[in-house]
Amino acid sequence: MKWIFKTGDHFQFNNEGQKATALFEQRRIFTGKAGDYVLVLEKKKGEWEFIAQFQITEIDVEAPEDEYKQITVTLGLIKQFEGDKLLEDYVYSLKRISNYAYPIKHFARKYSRLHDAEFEAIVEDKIYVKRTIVGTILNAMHRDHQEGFISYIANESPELLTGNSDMDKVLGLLLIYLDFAIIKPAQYLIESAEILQSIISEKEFADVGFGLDIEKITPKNTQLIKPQVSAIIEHLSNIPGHPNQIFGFQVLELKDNPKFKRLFKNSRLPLTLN
Amino acid sequence: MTKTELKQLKAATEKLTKWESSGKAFGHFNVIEAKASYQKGADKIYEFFCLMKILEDLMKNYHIKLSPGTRTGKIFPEAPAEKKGWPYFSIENKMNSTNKYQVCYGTNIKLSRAPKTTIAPDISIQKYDSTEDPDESMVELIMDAKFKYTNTSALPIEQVHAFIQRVNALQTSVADSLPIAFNLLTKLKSNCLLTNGKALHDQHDYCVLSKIKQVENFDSNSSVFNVVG
Repeated sequence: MKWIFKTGDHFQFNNEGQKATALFEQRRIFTGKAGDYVLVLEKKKGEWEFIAQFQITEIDVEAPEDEYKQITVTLGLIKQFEGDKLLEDYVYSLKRISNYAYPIKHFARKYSRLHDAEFEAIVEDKIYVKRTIVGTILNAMHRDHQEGFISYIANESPELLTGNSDMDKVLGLLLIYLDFAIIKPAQYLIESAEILQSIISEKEFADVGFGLDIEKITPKNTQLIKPQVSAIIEHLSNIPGHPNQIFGFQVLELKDNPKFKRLFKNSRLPLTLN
Repeated sequence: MTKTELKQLKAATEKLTKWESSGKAFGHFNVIEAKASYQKGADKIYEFFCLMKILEDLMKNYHIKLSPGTRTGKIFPEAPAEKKGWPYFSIENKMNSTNKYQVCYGTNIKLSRAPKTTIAPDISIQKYDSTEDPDESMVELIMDAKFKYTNTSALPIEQVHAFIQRVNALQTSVADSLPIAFNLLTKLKSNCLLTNGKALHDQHDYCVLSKIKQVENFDSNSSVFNVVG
């Protein structure tokens, strides 16, 4: 079996990090065994991060008959991880996570079990790429777009909202959504801006935008074209486009570890409303 | 995909799903179309794009000036609004200074015999001296724009009916005989229902009879549009 151990007062590194011990005081038995792999999750500079892989060398249970058992797990270092392995980078490959705004919440206990695919995702950086792309986009979207996408799939493929979120299908629909909801409007705005700039001066152009309420025309309440066009020019090429376009096609063709499909078979859409 | 690419994807999504200046959602997020037309505050970027394409074509023959709104300056209405206070464009023919018009965006036009009823075409070409509170006598030609999520979906017949109803109410059925000098878009000198999707080809005769045109594939990147009616 494979495990995640969180660091804290119950966890101690020994021998310059070559060894470690974890002390669990609990009613339940600990089902781990010598030889099991353990990934250590620690909070560093405000972010939770996987810092090393250990292996269980010994498990010592004091007073196994008592209601509260004292379990000491001794670990030997396999390797320290080089480079960052932030929890945030693996959230869409870990089944237990459903709150993407606050993923550490799902690691309230001192230890948790890991499935093989999850373990490989962290140790070998073989994440569930399609689900990561879907989750990254959905959770970064403005709330209105999150709702817009839910309406869209409710219309196109409602089964995806009932705990059967086939990632190939979701990703395909997400690419179509991005195309009509973001990419097309962005292209219209860029072309509109080019035309406007040929009609009015650069100075006038900076003030052109849209507003809803004549009583509330303040900079914070108006949708200005010029800064939006700058943002579009800077970022549009990083948004995967229509499935038929090269970027979209490449994204759909990505190959994932087949174990992920089984593991996440009945899981919900990776989305926390903003 | 690398971690760096995923960070870029996250940043791009955060940046482009909202307006930089206000933080309001950017784009076409009202997926249920009936809701999109009526819900205040849904982006009307395609409608504005159509206005720009019309002005781009008129630029060849006309001097174009943005007349700032007395209340909003160069901020255009996101939803149908009174004309008063909002900006519009003034155009004047380069060869004939009496050939001049106002090109308005999303402004309410009232019906003189039913003044509580207003109609707000996406684009209206009005007389050069049209007032701040125009009725149908000030309006020469109207256009509506309909964004379709897929460029293969067609205008519903209800939208064609509704547009004809607007043309009749605003009495702009003689729009095609106006002396407005389009350059390349001469086929658009009419009451046009513009869409990036498809027109209803079987409604050709009905459109001719009703003095409107459906303009399909009216889209970005100089795509080739087609006129029905």
